[in-house]
Amino acid sequence: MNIEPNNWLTANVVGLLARITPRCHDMTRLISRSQDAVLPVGTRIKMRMHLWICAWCVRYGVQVRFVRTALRVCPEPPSSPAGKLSEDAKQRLRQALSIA
Amino acid sequence: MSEKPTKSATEGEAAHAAPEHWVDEHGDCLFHYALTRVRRTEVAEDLVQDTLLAAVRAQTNFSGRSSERSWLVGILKNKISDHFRKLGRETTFTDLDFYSDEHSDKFENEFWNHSTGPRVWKPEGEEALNRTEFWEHLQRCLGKLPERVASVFLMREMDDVSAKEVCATLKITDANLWVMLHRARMALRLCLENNYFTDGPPSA
Repeated sequence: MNIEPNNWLTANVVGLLARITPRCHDMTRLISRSQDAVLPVGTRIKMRMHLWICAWCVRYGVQVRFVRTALRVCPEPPSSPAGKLSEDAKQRLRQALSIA
Repeated sequence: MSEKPTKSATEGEAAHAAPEHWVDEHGDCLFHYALTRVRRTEVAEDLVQDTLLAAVRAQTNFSGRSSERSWLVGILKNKISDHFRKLGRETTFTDLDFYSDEHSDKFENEFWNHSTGPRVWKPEGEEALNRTEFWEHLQRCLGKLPERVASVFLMREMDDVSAKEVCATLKITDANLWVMLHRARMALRLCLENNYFTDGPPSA
């Protein structure tokens, strides 16, 4: 958590928020779930408060959402040969089609 | 698909009558589509074959209203769903390993351990998307997921199939779905972080 160690007030606020919001372990579960369902308002507020004080969970959320974005824009062009049919496979397909 | 033959619009109209051109014209595209979802070359090839054979049989149903390719992709989608449905009936042992908590060292007293928790990613999002290595690593990381977990995850993330539908297709419970998705996201994020986004050694 990003706090100045000698700032007594900040430390206390952060400490309080850390106590009343879900722990990080639970946050990862909730962040995942929020991608598939609408969570109850209370849960969402607690999550938001946790995110005020925890850069790690913010990162986690951003990165997990990024993976989804990446998979949704997933490139159509098969750029590497691994993404293409081999000549053998093509030959087999042609054969199967000619019999059909 | 650099050598893809280009056809004039009028020729394209007539092309749907010629299944022998399908392999060359749409083969790579269909294969790529299948491979990104099922991840195994043999399975993807089989699915493409099933698709083309089904297409030959159903050829008379092809109205020509949609493009030939999207018609074939439509058939392929159904074949992939069938494949996942069959998969839903099998349980593999790798799934069990996957659920054992490999992330326990990331947390201390259920808070992130600040030295092993999520790091700042470089290059940043948009930039990574433009890099070939990113996509290669993404595929490699997807390849590490247990088959069933990957199918659930990809149906949800890639094709935006609703949670309800995924459960119905694979005959799994809601609770099971949440766990699988959560685990898949966690594992994939970590795999990318360790292998692509930072040059440093993987965090212990």
